[in-house]
Amino acid sequence: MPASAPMDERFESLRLELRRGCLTVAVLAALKTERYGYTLRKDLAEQGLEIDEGTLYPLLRRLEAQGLLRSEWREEDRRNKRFYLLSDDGKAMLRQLVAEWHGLDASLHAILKEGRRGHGRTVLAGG
Amino acid sequence: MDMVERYLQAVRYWLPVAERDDLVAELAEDIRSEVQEREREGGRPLGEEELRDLLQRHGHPLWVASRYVPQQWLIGPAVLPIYRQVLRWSLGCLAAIFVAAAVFVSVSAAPGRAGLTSPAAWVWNGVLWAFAYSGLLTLVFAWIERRHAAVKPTDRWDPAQAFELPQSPEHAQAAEAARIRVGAAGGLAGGAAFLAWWLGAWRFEPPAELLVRLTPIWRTLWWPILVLTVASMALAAVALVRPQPTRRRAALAFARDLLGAGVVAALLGAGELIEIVVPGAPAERVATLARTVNLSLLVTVAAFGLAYLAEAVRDLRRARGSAPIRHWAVRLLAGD
Repeated sequence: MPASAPMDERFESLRLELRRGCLTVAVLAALKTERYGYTLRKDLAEQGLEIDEGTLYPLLRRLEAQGLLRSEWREEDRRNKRFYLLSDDGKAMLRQLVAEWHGLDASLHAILKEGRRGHGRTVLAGG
Repeated sequence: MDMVERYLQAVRYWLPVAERDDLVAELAEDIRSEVQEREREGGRPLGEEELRDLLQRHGHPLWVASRYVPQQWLIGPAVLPIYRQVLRWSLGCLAAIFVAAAVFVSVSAAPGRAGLTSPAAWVWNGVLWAFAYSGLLTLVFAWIERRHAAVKPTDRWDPAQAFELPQSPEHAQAAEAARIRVGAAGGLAGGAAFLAWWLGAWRFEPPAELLVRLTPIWRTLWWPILVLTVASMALAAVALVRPQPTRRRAALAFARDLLGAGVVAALLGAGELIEIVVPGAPAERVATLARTVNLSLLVTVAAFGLAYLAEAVRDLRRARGSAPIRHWAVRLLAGD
């Protein structure tokens, strides 16, 4: 994304980049309980994590291909639906990813805190 | 629900064949679930406009399907820089060969047999060749991309051996001096050989059966060519002893370059550089042969002319103390 692009476009691009990894963790975490695609999407949205179908279903496919999810077609309310559930590998992976997430979160907090202190000093020095 | 079926059919068209049914079934279920929920909330069936909005929010069928395609590019970011570099260089070479061929065929074609000699035909054929070549090269690199993705060559490189260290300024200067000395020695040897031939060429009376003779333009240019050769040899001799370029030497070299360009212009202006005599052969065939050989010589002389001009630009800038031109074409022609 060039520097000449409008600020909101650049923000959107970075926001998507930031969300990409978080969505994987969120989907794995939500599928500790069996769900089919539409309810998964709805539940995530209710938790404040909107995810469109064009992102969710290919992600589910990739995670299943990696052996992190299991899926099966089953009839519910007289309609065939594909239900997803975290596999054993998926559970182990989720634990590792959550640990990584906590580590990143702590580091980012520390860096942001340090940044605020550094900024204060710069302002004082400049003023 | 016709609109939904048409939408699903459009998505299906772009999906990978092996997974089509499965993917469309899941997407259909997602859309139906959403439609059903909204109808339940509203207490009535969705209208056409609402259905259209819903599908538009899902995205264009091509975009939706593209998310399921495993590889999104023919040539990926790891191979793209090499592809661009190879394409640029090879297209440049191809263009040069094409222009040379165009000039050759246009000038050497017998009268009345024009063939592809019109400039428009050559340009059109050049464009077609460029497209065909670019397509072929793209396919080759697409194959490399697939191989690259499969073998992951990035796992097999050694940072200790991958790149040469940048040269120190002293080392770079010594390497440049060695390069200039090698070039000067070559120029001196070549100049001496040419001079020996040139000084003897006009004393040598060709026997009657000799087929090839130099045209009078060479006699006219005998002195300028002699001066040019001696000047080049003198500059080479000085460079052999003192390879570091100086502004004064660059000024002398510039004068030599102008003389060289002038000689080339005179030769090109003459049109014919050799005569061919074959006793007993049909005159038309001999004339065609002479035209072809002369054209080859003229192309060679023209290449010398371009080299002199590039050297003139380089030497003038050196004489004025300006920064050297880094453009690859000038450096290549000037022999840097």
